[in-house]
Amino acid sequence: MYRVVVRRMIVPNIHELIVEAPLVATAAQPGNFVIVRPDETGERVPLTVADWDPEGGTVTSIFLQVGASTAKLARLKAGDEIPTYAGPLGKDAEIANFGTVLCVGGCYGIGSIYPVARALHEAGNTVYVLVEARSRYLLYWQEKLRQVCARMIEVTRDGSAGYKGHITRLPEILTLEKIKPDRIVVNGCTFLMMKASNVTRALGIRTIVNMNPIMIDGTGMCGVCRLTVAGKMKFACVDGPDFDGHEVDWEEFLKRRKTYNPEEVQPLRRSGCASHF
Amino acid sequence: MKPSRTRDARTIEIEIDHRAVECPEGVSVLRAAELNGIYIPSLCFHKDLTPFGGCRLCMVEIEGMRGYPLACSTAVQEGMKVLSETTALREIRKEILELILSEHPSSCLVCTEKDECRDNQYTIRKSGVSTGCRSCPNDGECELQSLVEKLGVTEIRYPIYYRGYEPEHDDPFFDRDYNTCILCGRCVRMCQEVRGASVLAFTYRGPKAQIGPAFGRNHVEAGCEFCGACVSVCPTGALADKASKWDGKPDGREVSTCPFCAIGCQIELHHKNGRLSKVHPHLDPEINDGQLCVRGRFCLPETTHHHERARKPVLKRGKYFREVGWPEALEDVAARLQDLKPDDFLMVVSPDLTNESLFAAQKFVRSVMKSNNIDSTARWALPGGLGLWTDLLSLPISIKEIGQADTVIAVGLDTRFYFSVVGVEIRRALRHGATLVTIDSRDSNLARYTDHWLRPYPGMEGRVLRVLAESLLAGAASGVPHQPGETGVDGATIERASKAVAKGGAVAIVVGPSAFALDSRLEIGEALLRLAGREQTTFLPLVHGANTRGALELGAFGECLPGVVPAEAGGITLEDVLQGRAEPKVLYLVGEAPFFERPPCQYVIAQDIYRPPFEVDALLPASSFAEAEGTLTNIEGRVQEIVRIENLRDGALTGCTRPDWLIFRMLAEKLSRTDLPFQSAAEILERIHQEVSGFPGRSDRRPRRLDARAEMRSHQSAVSPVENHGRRLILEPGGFRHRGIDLSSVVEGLQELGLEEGFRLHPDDLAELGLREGDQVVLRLDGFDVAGAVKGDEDCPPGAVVVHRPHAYGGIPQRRELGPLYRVSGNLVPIEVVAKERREGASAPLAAPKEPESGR
Repeated sequence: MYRVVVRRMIVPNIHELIVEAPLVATAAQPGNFVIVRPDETGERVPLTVADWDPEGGTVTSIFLQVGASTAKLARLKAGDEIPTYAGPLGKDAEIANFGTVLCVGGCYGIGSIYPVARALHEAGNTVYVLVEARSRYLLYWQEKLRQVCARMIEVTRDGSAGYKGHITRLPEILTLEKIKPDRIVVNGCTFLMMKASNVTRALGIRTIVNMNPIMIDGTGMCGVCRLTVAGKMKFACVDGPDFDGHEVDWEEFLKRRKTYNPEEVQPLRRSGCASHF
Repeated sequence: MKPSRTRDARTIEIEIDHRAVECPEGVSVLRAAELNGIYIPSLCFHKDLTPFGGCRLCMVEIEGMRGYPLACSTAVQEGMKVLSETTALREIRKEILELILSEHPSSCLVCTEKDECRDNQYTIRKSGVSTGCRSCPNDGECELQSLVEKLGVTEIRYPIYYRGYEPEHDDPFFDRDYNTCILCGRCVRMCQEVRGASVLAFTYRGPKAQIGPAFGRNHVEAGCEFCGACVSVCPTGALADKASKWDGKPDGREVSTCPFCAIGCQIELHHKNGRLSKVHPHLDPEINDGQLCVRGRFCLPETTHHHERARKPVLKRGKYFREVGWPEALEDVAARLQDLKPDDFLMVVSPDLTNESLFAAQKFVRSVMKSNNIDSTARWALPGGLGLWTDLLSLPISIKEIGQADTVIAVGLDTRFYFSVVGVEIRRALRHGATLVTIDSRDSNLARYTDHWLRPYPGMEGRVLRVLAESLLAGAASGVPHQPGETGVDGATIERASKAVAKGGAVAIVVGPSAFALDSRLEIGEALLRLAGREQTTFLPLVHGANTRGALELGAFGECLPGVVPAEAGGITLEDVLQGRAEPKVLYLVGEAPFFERPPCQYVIAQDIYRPPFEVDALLPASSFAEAEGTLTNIEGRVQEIVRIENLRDGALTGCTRPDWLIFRMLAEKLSRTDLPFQSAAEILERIHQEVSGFPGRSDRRPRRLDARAEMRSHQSAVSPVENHGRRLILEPGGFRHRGIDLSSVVEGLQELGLEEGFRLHPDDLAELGLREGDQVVLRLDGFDVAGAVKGDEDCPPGAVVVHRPHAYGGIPQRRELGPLYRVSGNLVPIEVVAKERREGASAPLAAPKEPESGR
């Protein structure tokens, strides 16, 4: 059993979860994820590792509350225990001195891009970070990210912070900010990563995306997390989760993520407090 | 502006946007526009509520008035000239909407990618708090979304302010996220003005203003009835049904009738992917006018879709049970019914069956089985006997007229969780200045609205009603003999009430099922019938069971043929089986399970939507209300339609349920009988029309008075002398049954409320007995004991122990102990209360929800 050290909502609907998992803390690398179960009868969900403390033995991840399992996670308190915290899983993020790298984070991706930005910064890259959200009150960890980048750019849908608009304005923003990245890394929801890949294709900038399919075992056995990259089948848990955004079959990926929509809603079709969030 | 009585309004003519239109005098400009199909935007207006002027969107230009008056709070005047669409108004409205949106998570509304984002997400994100349209329960059906489209808002130029409230999930039935609330006040006004529960209010002020119960109470503590009226009028996703929160925009809506009680409210069924999603009230002017109660509003989806639904036929094979197909099941049952002697068979039908199924059932028993042994637990819902009720149903019965009455007398009725719509009508009458007199040994929500609460000893309601009836007839608080010592009501109080009702005018008398259940001398019936001839008088004798009236009219009782025609006496009844006087070889239960253990019959058939809690030999899965069409007869005699919205093909998951009447036909065919040649429900209704005089051949929403027949017998139940000392057991009829189950067993929210659980005593009585909330006790009756936990209830009359008599065990474990109560006939039984064991820990607050089980 793994003890929860902290579980708190840092911005509306996004939670920070710090768990005591010494073995994971010593082995974690940027880009890794852990498979978590909120309780004995719960579902296995993958959460990207956002930070870790090898001496303290704790691992931090950021999650968005979107369904029954994350709802259970969102109810955890310090001192609670969870039965599963398997990891670190997935291929490490590719870290080298590429020159100039733009790290884009949206939603929970703002948290998960932090270790990648940090490692790239330590490897000598000029790192720019772009965080995007619907509105200013949904942005977080700006101070942490400023420490590991040359400049931080904010984009909000309603213009309450930074640029008004969506990631589709990226080419324009690159021009305005006078940034010429050799590589772009995007972490966030599927729509964000898809859109980002679409607009960078014409610019010819290599765009790495951190895919988020449904996962069960996380070690390459079950096949639930498969996606098509450059026409070939890959498993996000062992071949990824980072892939080239220009090679991913986005349409198929979005469809596969919706496979269990009816089943996901079914446990919530109850009128009692016990089953609800 | 007070809402005017419909019968008093005059029509006047005004001009809107250079168009001459007509409207009733005294309505608001906005209502006049609404009635004439002219759109004026508004977020806080509602036709049943006093105008609030909170959103300011309905500004208009009126000739002769300065500035921009609000259409919702300006009354029409003859010849008024209104402009609802000008450049200035468009600009102002956009600005106002932007201000409203600046305190709402509205980034999605002004996002350039919103269309593509919506198309890429086939599901709403089931979030804890909503931070945008995609994670909001109202996505796709939101008044803000449509207003943004209509007014063309593309950016919000004001600073965005997210208030950061904790979402509220700790009350049953609906969730609240006040971060999306725009403070329109519709919910507050609905709860205070129309429903009268006054649970919601504006708390705090200024930028901190928030909606909620006062003093930080939760909704259960604040006395919420969970009628869902607030949820239905909320323009945003701040209030959302728990059970259908994430279903998304429905594919369609159909108007149908609620199958849970005899009021027969008209409901709007929302369906998605071929299944019932949620229920909203229908704006039906005849019965419920946009209101419902907790049952109809929130309980239908879970009742229809619970995973324990009986969907496939099951046969007992030795000590095992096997799912089989219809042919094998029918074969087995038919073999048992073949050549059965008439008295070796008894069918018990539920008062929740449709008219068509009830008629087919009695036809099956009488023509095919050649027996007269048909009975129904509807008998328990008609205390005093079929004769009395035939007489009562021949009175002018009306729900609508209550709202127009000058005097309303309510006997033994609390409308919080049962017959709520009647409570709404009574409040409507009160708003027009009517006088209300309540006669109830228990405190009720209605007593709150009147100075004339007459509180007799339990069982004496009829006596007091008779006094008032005489005053009504005499037109004066005449000297009607009255013994305060006998009734428990002092002379001065009853004199005052008599004077109040003697003023006369239009009178409406409403009597709840609890009052009838206690009325062993049938005095209530007598009083009502005494007023039968009085002009401008309507009655509403209430019963449990959605189609109890249908059961009576269509001959679901052995001694009563369709058309309320007496049959020859004889034959066995359910009571005979319960009391051990009869043991038919075959017992056929249709939507009924009035046993805790398997009854001592050789072969038991259960035909229902859920398995009964005891072993049966054959389980025949019936269609639930959403899966088969039919009609129900409400208490006023209206024959109202139930609409089929689920048409799932037979399959491994969906099973193969069939409408009750169809199962009877299939059985008849297996027995080589052609007495039930019906191809559709409509055909059966046509046949009923031919055989039962006065019954319509199609759904007919007009109220009908039953043809009074003096030939049906009434009977008084065992008369217990009523003393005002000694502890008495009051058996309240349970109101949450639907067919063979208690709704609390499948609807989680009801289970958490626990409204009908426990032995209820007044807190003073508990103290006197040295008991605390939750202690286990034994009730010692004459001949047997019943065990259970006590609950404090301030509404209880002193000296009484109130227990809800369950019609069905319904899978609720603690009810098992109440089995012996089935054998109690008569009411107000003297008992002794013996403490069994103390409950550990501090006493819980009254009516608190049960602790949720973990990991469910």
